[in-house]
Amino acid sequence: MDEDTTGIRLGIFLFVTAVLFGALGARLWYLQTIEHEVLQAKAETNVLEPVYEQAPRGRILDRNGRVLVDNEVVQSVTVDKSVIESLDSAELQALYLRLAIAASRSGRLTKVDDIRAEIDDRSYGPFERIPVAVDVDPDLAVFIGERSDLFAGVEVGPQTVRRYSYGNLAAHLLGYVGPITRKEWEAMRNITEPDGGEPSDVYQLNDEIGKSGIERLFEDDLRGVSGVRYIEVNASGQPVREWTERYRPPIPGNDVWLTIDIDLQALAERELAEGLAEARRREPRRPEDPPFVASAGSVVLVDPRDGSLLAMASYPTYDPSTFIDGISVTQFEQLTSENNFFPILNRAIQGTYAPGSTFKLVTAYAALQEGVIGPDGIRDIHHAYIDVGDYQFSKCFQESDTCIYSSPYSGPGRSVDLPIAITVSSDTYFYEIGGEGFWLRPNEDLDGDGVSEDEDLQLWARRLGFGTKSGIQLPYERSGAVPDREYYRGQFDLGVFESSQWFGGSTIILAVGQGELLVTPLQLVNSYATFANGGRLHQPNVLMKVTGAGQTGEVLREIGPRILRDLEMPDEFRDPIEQGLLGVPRSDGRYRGTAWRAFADVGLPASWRVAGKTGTAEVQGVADTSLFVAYGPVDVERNGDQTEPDVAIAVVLEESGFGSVAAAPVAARILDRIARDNVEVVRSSSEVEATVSVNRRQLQSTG
Amino acid sequence: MTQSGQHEASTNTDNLSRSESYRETSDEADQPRRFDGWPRSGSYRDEQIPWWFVVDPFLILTTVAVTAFGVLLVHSATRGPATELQPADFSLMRRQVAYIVVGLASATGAALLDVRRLRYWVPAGYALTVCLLIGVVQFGADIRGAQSWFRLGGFTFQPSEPGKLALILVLAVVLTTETVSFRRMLAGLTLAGILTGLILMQPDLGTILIYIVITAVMISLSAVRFRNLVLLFLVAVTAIVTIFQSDLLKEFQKNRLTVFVLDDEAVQDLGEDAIRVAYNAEQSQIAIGNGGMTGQGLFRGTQTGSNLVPEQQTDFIFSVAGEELGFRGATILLALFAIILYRVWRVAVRATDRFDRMLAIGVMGMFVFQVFQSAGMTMGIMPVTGIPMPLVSYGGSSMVTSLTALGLVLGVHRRRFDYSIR
Repeated sequence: MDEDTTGIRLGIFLFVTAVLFGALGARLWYLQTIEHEVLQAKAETNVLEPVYEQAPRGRILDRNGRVLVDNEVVQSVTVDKSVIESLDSAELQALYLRLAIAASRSGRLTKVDDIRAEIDDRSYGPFERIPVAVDVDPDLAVFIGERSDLFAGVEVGPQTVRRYSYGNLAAHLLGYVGPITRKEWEAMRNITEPDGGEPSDVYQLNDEIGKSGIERLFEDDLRGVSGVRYIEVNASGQPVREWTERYRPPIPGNDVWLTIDIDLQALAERELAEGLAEARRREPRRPEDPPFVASAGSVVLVDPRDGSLLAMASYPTYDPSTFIDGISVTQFEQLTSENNFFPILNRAIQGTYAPGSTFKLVTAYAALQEGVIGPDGIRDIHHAYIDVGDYQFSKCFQESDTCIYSSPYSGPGRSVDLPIAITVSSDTYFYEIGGEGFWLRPNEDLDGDGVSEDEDLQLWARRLGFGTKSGIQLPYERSGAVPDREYYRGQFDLGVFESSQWFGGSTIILAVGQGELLVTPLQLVNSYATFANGGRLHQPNVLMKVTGAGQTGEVLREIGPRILRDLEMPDEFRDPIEQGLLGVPRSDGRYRGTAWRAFADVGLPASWRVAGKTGTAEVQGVADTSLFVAYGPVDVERNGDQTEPDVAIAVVLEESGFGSVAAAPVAARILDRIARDNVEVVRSSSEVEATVSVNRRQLQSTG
Repeated sequence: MTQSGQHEASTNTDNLSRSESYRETSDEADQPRRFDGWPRSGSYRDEQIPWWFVVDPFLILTTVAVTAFGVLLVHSATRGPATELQPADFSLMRRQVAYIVVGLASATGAALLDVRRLRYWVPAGYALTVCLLIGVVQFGADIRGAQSWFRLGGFTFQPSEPGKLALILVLAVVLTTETVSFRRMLAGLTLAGILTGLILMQPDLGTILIYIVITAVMISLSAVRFRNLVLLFLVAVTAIVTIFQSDLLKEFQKNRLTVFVLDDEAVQDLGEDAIRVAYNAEQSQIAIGNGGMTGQGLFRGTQTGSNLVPEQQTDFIFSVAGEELGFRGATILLALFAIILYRVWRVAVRATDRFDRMLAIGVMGMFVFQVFQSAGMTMGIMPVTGIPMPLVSYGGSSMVTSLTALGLVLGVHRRRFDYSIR
């Protein structure tokens, strides 16, 4: 018989029991102290359902503090999803129908399908009220309130929406807001709040987000931080109580002040539309020429002193308020349709055009800088040159021995030097600078600027801001193109160009702003502004400052002039060019500037001297692009001080013919208003409404 | 040593040489003696030993304390949101109190039972249990995929719960001999195996585990030879491996046993049931972790209030204690269990009869495993199997069984002082 080991076995059993209980205690300790915080956080997300409160978005103001975009409280119809969940499909259909009728009757056309789509949208949380019709008549609240049996779960209440005080004005610039897409939301989830908030708090699905323009680029400033209430729910989703201690009130967004002047903006938009309308009324010189469609264009005004944007007009335009409450597919298609000439495009930064003769400023400046014109160049500045109307280029690489470049519009027989060549826009003068000047220089880099000598024209174009984005704080800007050998090869490799060969002819037509050269209106006006201020190339500014919300918000950040490049611009180079530009809008009897008639018609005060340049860019198959770029006032004494030019303007009209005929008058009328300090003050829609109601009241009281 | 010799089964067989009481009992077995402060011998019927030595007040008080704990936890788990519109639900708590009352009555009866009568009834009780277990598979109500319950009016009755007592008693009868031969061990295993096999028909994995553990503990602590024990151990390991590789257990049952040690990705591959089980286990750990040191306060646990932990009034009730009472409260609960278990062990050690000792050991094995399993499951150190926490979880069958088991232990304790019923 074995020794009786019962006592030992009982001891072992007690020991095992103690070990097991020790394990329980250790695990309990681990879960409740070491893992406590992690698990507590999980527990809270388990039971807390966040309900977000919209934070008011910041306002957008112009440089004088006029409110361009504001928030407005409107009445909107919302539906409580938890209430209508109990309805069957027939009852739902009836409810939707009643809702659609009621909302439509109160002034907001609403379709049953739209309501259904909105309610079926899964991105709404269980405690959110789903908006089905925004901005309805307040009387609808009473109507629905009285019929709560027919409108189960339906409520009419206040909602804030974007309000565009000046209607369509500056629509492209301001941009618009819309509900965040799932893609955007997922991208934004990774952003952490500066105050350490949870990343998922930054945006909720159905939040509004800036989609274009200022609304998009200054989203971080404009957007407030949503408030959040935490509702404790049980496992079946029923609310238990609110955790008021966790409530976080919404933080309103900051106000964004723009550099634009809304009155100037209104003037620019009006004159742009008017200029295009006039162009459409004109007939081409020859019947076989393409008609003046004049469907689109752009006017940009900047302040040369600091590079701030004063106005930016693009035509055709659109009404940003259509984006409130979501835009329908048809509406969006209309905005992006070729038949409507893409109203959504901001042509001032997204339209790229051949600059035509307006580029001659660049060519002349480059020629002077490189010594192409001057004592050692092909001719001196005031060397007379007979413009015979065409230019024969002997070193032509084409099949024949010589190529002839004829000036399409300027007549032959004039004697020109550099200033006059600019004033009368002599193409042959600049053909010669391109052909005999730049093209025949050595194809190697002798002066160490990184570019071979025969491509120094392109180098100076790039130094004046062409070929790269200007860097204005607006989205989707295009960079345009300054063609050179490398660009040709690149385009050939991409299959865009048929040949990779850079010919002499390419440089020649580049000298007059034709060929593959593409610029945006903003780049164009910025280059002239750089010339006007003596060589400071600014990164254009549209943002002036950001202030905290409210009337007395403190300045959070202020944007000063941003100088990209300080170009050497000695007077002996600058004066002859400016002399030529100053001649463009006037006639001195012997030489008529290309834009003299436009300015004579307007009668701009002689004391306010304008330096400008017309441009007529040929476009394959359609009417010419009409351009005019100018700055002023030049050499004006104000209060005894020499003032710098304080405005630069570019006018670009697509398919509108001569720059002197179509674009120059637009610029002349705008500059005239500025010169006379006679810019009309536009009234915001609320001011208009106030006046209307005052008038109505007066009518009622008198009637 | 003088031997009284009247009862083979109970006199000399206990070779607890350390036990002072035994020796002194033998010396003056036939002589009633005065109580001199510490009862070393004699019967309480001699009225020399006060009654509070005959009952075990520690065991009784801790048991009542644990059931009171349980009542509060069950109420917390079932009271509902308790808002103004919807007042707290007291129905399950009332029932639980009723079960406790019934259980206490049953325990008192069990404690007062004459052991000879008890032994006499064991075969009948075993037969009745087998019948009930067959019946429940045939006629039982299907609740959550297992046929473990009889439905009687508004009540459900789970025969496998009192079946645990039948198992303990039958093994105590079989394994009481001075030496347990191999054949005797096999007989015990067979009797236990029949019950286990019947529960496998339901199927109720958790209860099967309890039966296996009870059997293992009782055989290990009986006078089975060490080499037989080793042999049994090897056979058991082989059997477990074989079962896991055979189709005897369904795939989802195997998954449930292994899922608690797997990481999230591995769980994803095992399918819906495993994901759900892993989710439940995680929710339970979140609830416990949420409690922290002090707990959220009774009735104020957010996870408990939200019913995020499944079966929180029964199998997962320890998560309620963890969340609402925190480390302090849950430790107190475990400590109370530890006291109960120590008292039961003490009764087993001091038992003057092999049958009585095996009885106490069986009850202790049952409690140790059930407490460890049900608490460990809520904390992720044991697989999720439906095992109620004795004395705490809501449920009549379990409550009455647990209390009756402790009543039997109290009976063992009582008989230590009572020769008259030997």
